Amino acid sequence: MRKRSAWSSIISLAAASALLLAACGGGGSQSAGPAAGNGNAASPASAPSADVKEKVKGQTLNLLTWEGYADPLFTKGFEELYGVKVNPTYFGSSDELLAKLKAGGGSTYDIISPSSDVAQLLVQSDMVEPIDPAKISSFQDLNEKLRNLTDVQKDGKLYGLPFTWGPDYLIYDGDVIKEEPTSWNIFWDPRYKGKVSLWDDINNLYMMGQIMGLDKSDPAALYNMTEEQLQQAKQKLVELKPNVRKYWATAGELNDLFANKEVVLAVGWPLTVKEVNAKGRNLKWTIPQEGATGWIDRLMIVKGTQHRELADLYLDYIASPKAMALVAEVTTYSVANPKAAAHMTKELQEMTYVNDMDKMFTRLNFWQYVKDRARYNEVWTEVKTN
Amino acid sequence: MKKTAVHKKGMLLPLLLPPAIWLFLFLFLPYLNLFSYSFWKPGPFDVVKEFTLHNYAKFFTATSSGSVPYHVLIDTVELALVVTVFTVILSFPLAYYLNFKVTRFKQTIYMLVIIPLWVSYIVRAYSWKIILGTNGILNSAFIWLGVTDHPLDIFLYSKVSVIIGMVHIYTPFVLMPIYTALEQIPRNLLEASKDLGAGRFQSFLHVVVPLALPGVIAGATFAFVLSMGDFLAPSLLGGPDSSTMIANIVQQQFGTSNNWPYGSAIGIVILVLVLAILELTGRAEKRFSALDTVAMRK
Amino acid sequence: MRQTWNGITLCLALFSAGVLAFIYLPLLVVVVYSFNADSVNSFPMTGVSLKWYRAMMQNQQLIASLKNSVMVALISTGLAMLLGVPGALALDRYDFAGKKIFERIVLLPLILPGILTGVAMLGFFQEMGIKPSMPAVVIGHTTFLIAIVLTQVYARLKRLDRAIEEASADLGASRWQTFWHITLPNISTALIGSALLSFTLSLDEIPVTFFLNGVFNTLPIQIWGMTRNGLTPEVNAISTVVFLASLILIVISTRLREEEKA
Repeated sequence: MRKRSAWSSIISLAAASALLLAACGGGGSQSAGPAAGNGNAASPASAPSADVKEKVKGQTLNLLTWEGYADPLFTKGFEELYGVKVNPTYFGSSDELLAKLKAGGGSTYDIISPSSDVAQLLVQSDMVEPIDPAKISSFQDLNEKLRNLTDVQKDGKLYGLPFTWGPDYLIYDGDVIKEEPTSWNIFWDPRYKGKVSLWDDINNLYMMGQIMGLDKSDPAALYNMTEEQLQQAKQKLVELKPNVRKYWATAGELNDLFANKEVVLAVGWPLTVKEVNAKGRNLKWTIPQEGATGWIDRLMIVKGTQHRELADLYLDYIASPKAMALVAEVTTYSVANPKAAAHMTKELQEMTYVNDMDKMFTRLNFWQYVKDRARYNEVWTEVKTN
Repeated sequence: MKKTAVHKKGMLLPLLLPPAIWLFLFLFLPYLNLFSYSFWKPGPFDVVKEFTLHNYAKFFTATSSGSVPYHVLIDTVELALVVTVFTVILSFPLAYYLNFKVTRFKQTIYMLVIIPLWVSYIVRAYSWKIILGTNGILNSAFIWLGVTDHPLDIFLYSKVSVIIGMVHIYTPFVLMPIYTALEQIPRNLLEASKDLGAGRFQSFLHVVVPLALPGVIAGATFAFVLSMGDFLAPSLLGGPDSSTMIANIVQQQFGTSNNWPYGSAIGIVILVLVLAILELTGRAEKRFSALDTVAMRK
Repeated sequence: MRQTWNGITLCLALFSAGVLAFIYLPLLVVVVYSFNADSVNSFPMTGVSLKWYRAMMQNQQLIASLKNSVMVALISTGLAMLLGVPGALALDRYDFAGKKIFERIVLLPLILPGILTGVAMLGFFQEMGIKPSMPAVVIGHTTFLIAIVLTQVYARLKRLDRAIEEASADLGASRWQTFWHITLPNISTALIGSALLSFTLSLDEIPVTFFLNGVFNTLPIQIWGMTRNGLTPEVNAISTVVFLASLILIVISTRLREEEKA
């Protein structure tokens, strides 16, 4: 243990000085990203020594992730590579992640996949361990914007590996609604009474804020709504209730709702469109004129993990183009490594914007840390029990 | 107690202590802890151990937007009562029939009611979705029979489906005590009642019902408490007006909202309510068991 | 008179059959849809296939969770018997201060909503530094199973004719001999019955397990997790297998008991 941490501090020191040199030299790089070694320097990590392999053999890596983020399609390769086991546990909302982490902590979970609304909180509350980019051979290949997000940096250290991102967009049944909806207001249309599904999450409040136009000038406004704005949002959600068939708790539940034709309109993720259409249906998606929120998921290492080496190896594995492509294949979410395109079908490339990420970024209002998360949660409960 | 003569007190402690210690450690202390949590403040990741009554106040007073959290409790009690009534209505005749009308395969039929407990609750709840859905079995049957010409969506994701789901799941729990109570009615008592010229209905009303009542009360209590504490049926089968019952609120405080003190306070409120109900039903049960000893003497 | 009574009996029979049908309709759906050819369970079923049984066999997490559930149910039932039967004997044989209170406290874990016991234990274990894990789940289950064993065995002991035991003692049998040869056989049905019920309730316990499992998944928790991606019929398949196994087990055991009686 001791040896490893010394080793890693040497690497990060070296990396930091390299960066410093680059900055002094006035190089074109305008982003003072986290301490990151360059790809070549990190090559030892990509080909782990027999030593490390021997050491981690037989260990179990415990993942606590969103559904779809621990699919055998890509975890199997890791298991076989190192002779280890990946044991996934899932959460259905950011709040559930916090609760599970609180109860279990590092002795239970090794890697988590928080979204951008709680990532900062986890870093600031000292719940996660720093990541060493030098140990991730594909780190420099990852999208630059995602790599340099400051919410998961503290004291010059990086705490999150960019993993996936995507929208909370409007999904509709193309067989029922022939014209592409242009506004979220279609949810309130009396024609769709009992045919709408919302996520059982405070994300609905962000969405109402967006419909109210709060984020026109400042994207962060959705995550810092005043009490008055929250009440307004609540009112809108209460008015929507007669049209709501069910608040979906998990993506799987939404898939069932569409597959069984219980609903024709919903806010949802690309996963649903892909899985339901695979059964011969005609789901379509759109980003209405008010815009849509989006999320960026990072992988983090839980503080006090019992399998730090294995966790590092997993991050190294999952960031590789091949693994990222498999993640995209399973989830249809956009992945952080553009080089994954080489392993994707043309269709998947288009679906996940792998070739023009930056363009899609501008259309989404990415979740941010909500300071008064408790109040948001209360308001959402009030809506449900109104 | 009159039958203690055989044994000395010597064995009392070795027999009694293990379960007593276990229950002290894993029942009493956790609930005591829950009680103390309910007076603390929530922190971002841990409770802040400072005394406050805020958690209780919050539950019983209106929020700035006018909703009162404890109304959920009232809704839940109503729902649980409906479920209880239905489970008793379904269980009693079946238990009666099994006890007094069936001679062969009695045990087997009784077991038939218990066996469903072996099939996962969640899987059974999902089956109800297939049955009650807009394009489900029930609607298809109704359309085929001409009861309705278009599928109805009131069966699923509504109070109706939550109630159906719970009645289905808790009926076996009500049947068991009622069956046991009926089983213990001495057959000669019924004969005697008949010999005394009582009609069937009179015997039923004056002998069977009073003797079965302790079982009915026990079963009803079970059904009521179990449905009050159920957070799965509402979340799986409930719609926008019925997916959040009191147990869901508690579960959210611990499972998502991360406000353990508030969740603990609501838990203590439920606990007090349940204990009060137990006290009441306990008294009622005793009253009727007193009745049954009287009946026996007659 | 006779005529109307038969009418009532017939109504009663029909009603009972209706109740059984209500209880069994969803189970029938579970079994039928385990042969679904599609991956979404919707009505009407589109085709018939055995593939979900194959999928179930290959789903290591699902099989592992079934093993976990059986293990937890066995250990918890065993512990509950070890703790509950002596408790019942103590209640039946002795008078002691606080007996009435103890009788009522014992019932609590059974009668209190599982979610309360679950969150109470979660908080307590947190304070004690016990992480959510398999032992935590076993402790949670054992606590409410004690109540079942204790009350059922106690009820049976109360009805036991004490004269036989006294006779045995009078004939010079030691207390242990009397217990082993007289008391135990007489309460055996209550023992088997409470063990069976304990096992059954533990196998599908959710509200307590939900808060205590951590990464240790029992079958119902695993199924709950699988609902996140949409339940596929392999869940129906494993439920059908468990159902059939329990059916066979119980038919055999009731047969044996009926033969014993005859």
